Amino acid sequence: MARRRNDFMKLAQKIEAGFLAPFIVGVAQSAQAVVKDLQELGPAWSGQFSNSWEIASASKVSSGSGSSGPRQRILAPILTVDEYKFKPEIKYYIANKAPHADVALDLVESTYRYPGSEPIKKAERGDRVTGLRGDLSVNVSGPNRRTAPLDWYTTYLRGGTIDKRISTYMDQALRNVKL
Amino acid sequence: MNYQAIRAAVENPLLSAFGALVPAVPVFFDNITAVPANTTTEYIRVNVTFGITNEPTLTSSVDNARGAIIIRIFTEKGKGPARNQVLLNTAVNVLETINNSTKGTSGVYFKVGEINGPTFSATEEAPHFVGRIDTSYVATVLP
Repeated sequence: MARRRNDFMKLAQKIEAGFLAPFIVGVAQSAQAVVKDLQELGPAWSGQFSNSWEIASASKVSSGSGSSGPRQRILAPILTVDEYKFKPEIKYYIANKAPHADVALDLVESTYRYPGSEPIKKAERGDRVTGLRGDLSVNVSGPNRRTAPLDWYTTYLRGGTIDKRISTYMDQALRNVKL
Repeated sequence: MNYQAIRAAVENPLLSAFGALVPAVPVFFDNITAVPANTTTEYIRVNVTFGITNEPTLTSSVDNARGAIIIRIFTEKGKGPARNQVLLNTAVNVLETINNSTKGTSGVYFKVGEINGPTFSATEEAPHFVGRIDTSYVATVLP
């Protein structure tokens, strides 16, 4: 009797895992797509900032290499069934671990210094209005440069683009559920 | 889509509120170069950005836009946060007033989301103490 109950429980767990799999994959793909957007939209001079994003679940962290050069894809850690079911609403934390991340995100002021090499992303030239990285009055002969507009990050978070990105992948996950 | 009307719906009340203070505090918006850089003069910087336009909604109107409002308060460094917070109060009050307005039959219906912050920062090289708040908005242009 006990053995039959154990077999039944194992079967139920397998069915549950199969049912939840598309959602678990959907959440992971959403996180990866968000990081890809942030890499594309954000500033990139050496590429170090773009490669310093990390995606963390409750138990694992996937980190970018932090190296210079073209952006590298970051794969989200796959949630376990229990993490998906029982952990709080926030499934992943996305953060940037570059030492100058606050400057790149336009959160603090800084002083522009030419790093000695040309940017890997197209830059706009101009004069800094305040000490914020992206706060540039565009002027082709200006001494400062930016590779992303002012407040690109806040606009991505608050302007609805992140919501749209997540809903695209979660809708796709829902379509993949077989009943 | 009337982006200018959307921008005006948030910029005008902020300009009026800071202009009514004694002494008036200058407010600088996007694409304005006249910020008193490298001085300790206090001023406000407002950045209104656009995210998604004409997102389908449950209402019949699709003439809407979502975006972000970022308000930065620049005050004298080394004098404590009090003055900065007083000016932040003015900005938050304006956003709350906008949110309490009712939907008319024309113009722009503007709603802001939760307000993030304030956060404060000061760097060694910059002359100001900076307070920052940001929020999302949804604006519908009414016929």
